[in-house]
Amino acid sequence: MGSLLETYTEACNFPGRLDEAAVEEALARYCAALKVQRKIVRLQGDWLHGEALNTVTEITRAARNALAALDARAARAARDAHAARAALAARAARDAHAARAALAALDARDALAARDAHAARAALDALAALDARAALDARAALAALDARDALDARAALDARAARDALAALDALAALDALDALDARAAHAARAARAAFAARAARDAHAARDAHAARAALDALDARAALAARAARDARAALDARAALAARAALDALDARDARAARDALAALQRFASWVVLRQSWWWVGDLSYLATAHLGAVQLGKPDVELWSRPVFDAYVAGAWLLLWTPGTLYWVATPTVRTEPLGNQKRLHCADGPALLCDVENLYFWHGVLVPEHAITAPEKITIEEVRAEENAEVRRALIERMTPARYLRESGAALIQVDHETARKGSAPRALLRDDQGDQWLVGTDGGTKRVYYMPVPRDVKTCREAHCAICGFDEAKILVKS
Amino acid sequence: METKTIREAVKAVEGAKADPEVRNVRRMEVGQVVQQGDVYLHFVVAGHPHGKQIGAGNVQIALGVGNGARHMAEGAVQVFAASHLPCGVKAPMNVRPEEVCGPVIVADKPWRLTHPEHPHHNLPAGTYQVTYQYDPQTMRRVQD
Repeated sequence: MGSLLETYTEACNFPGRLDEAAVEEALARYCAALKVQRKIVRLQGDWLHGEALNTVTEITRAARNALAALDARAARAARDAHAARAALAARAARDAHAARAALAALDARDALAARDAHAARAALDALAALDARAALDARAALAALDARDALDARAALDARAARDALAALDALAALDALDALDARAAHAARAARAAFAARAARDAHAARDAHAARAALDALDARAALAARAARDARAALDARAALAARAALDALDARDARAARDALAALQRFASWVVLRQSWWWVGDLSYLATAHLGAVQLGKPDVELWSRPVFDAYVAGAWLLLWTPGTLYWVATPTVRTEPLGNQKRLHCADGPALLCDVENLYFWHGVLVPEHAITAPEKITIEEVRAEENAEVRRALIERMTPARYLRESGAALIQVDHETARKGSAPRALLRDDQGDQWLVGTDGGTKRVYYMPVPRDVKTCREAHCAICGFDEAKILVKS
Repeated sequence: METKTIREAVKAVEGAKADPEVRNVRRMEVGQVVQQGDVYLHFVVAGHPHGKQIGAGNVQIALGVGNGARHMAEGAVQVFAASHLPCGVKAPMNVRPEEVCGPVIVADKPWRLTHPEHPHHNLPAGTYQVTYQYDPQTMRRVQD
C-alpha cells in the first residue's frame, strides 16, 4: 500500500512520465469495467475535428438555443425561475443521500457533456470511497495532491473557467459563421441538424437544472476544497450571467457574414478548449482526483470499486490527466507542465516568458497568479490602452498595466498631474510626481536617489500630495527618513 | 518645482541626479529611518520585542528570490523574527501587520546594509527593525 501511495504522489509531480500505450491500455480496461465501448483517443495538436468537433458543435448549439430562449422579455422570468429552482434544490440537498441520487440522475441526463450514466455512477463510487475518511492513505494522497502540481493545474483550470464565459460568446459567433457555410450544404443535413438543435435546447434546460443541483450539493458539502470550488463556480455563474446581459453584443456577432468563417473556426477551437478544460465535473474527468479512489478502495477492501479504480489509477500514473467522454470516444489529455513561483510558504502560477500551464489542449498564461491573455506575456508591446480600459477584472487590468509598463500606460491614457515636490531626506532625495490615470488610480513616480531607476508606485486613490502618497505606502511619516538609496 | 505637464514632471524625475556613494550614518536616534529601495530600516530601542532568531552574520532581510530582494545585513549582526511593528508605524487599513513587518536586527558593532544595485549603508551599532513598502492595489507588501 505504501508503494501505491508513493507511486501516486510521484505522479502528482507534473508532467511526470508519459507512456501513451500504457494510458490507452488502462483506459480500455476502464471502459470494460464500466461496460461501455469507446474509441480511445489522445487530444493533442490539431484535435478539433471528427467527433470532437461534432460534440463541441452540439454543445454550442445548445448554448445558443438556451440564450435564444432567454429573450429580452423572458430573461427576468427565467432568472427568477432559475433562482427558485436553486432554492428548491438547496432544500432537497439537505438530505445528502437524496442529493447524491439526484446527482446521479442529473449526470445521466447530462447528454450535453456526453457523459454516460455508467461513468457517473463510477464517479459517485469514487466519492463514496473518498468520503470514507477512515482511509488514511486516501487522505494522505489528497494532501499530497494539494501540495503538488496537480492542484496548481486545477487552479489554472478554475481561473480559465471563470474567464471563459466570453469564449462561449465567441463560439456562438463561430457557430453562426459555420452555419453560413452550412447553408451551402445539403438540405437534408440541415434538417437533421435542426432536429438535433431542438433536442439540444431541451438538454440545455436539463443542464441548467443540473447546475442548480450541483451548486446546492456544493453548498452542503463540508469539505473546504469543495466549498471553495462552489465559490469559484459562483463566480463563473456570475460571468455567465454577464454574458447573458451582453446579448446585444451577441446579436451584433450574429450579424457577421461568412467572411468570418476562418476566424470562427479559431473561436470554436477556443470554445472547445473551454469545454474540455472547464472542469465543472472534475471528479469525473480529472484523474488526479479520481485516482485517489483506488487508494481508499484498496484499503477498505472494496473489490467492486477496485474493478474500475485500478485502471483509472494506472492511467493517471502513466500520464493521463483529463478525460472527456463523448458518445463514441473517450478522449484523454496528457498531464501538463506547470510553472509556478514561490509566495511565502505557498506558490502561485506564474511564468514571465511563456505559458504557466503547458497543455495539449490549450496553453494558459499567468502573471503572478493572474490569468492573462497570451500576448500579455509573449508580446506585451501589443497591449493597448483600449484593451486595458475594457478589462473589467481589476487584477487582470493591473497585470496588463504592469506588463505594458506603467510609464507607457500613464503616457497613453492621458493621466492627470496631481502634484510634484522634492523629497526631504538628507541624502538621496529627488523630485517626484503624483499622477492619476483615467480609471482614478493614482501613481507616485519617483527614484531611489541612488540609481537612475524611475519607479511607478501605485498609491491609494484618496491621497492628494506626494508626501501623503509615500506615507500611505510606507506606514509612517516620511520625515523620519534620514537617508535613502 | 514649477512643473506644468506630466511630460515635464516625469522628465524631471528621470533627470534627477543619482548619488551612488555609500551612505555613511554615524549616529541614529530612536524613530529615525534609513530607506533602501522598498525596505525601511527603523532604529528602535534596545530590547525591542522580537521572535526567535532566524540568522546571524550575513542575512537576507527581504523576502524574494530575485536580485531585487537581496537586501543583506552584513557584519556582526543577529537577526530575529518580528513580533511587533516599530513604534509609529501603522499597517494600512485592511492589511495585516505581519504583511509589512520585517525582521529585527541587533548589531553590537557597526554593520552594513548592502544590495547589488542600491548604494550600501554603513550603520552604527544598535537595534533595528525592517518594514516593507506595500502595494495598495494588491494589498500586499511590495516584493521584487
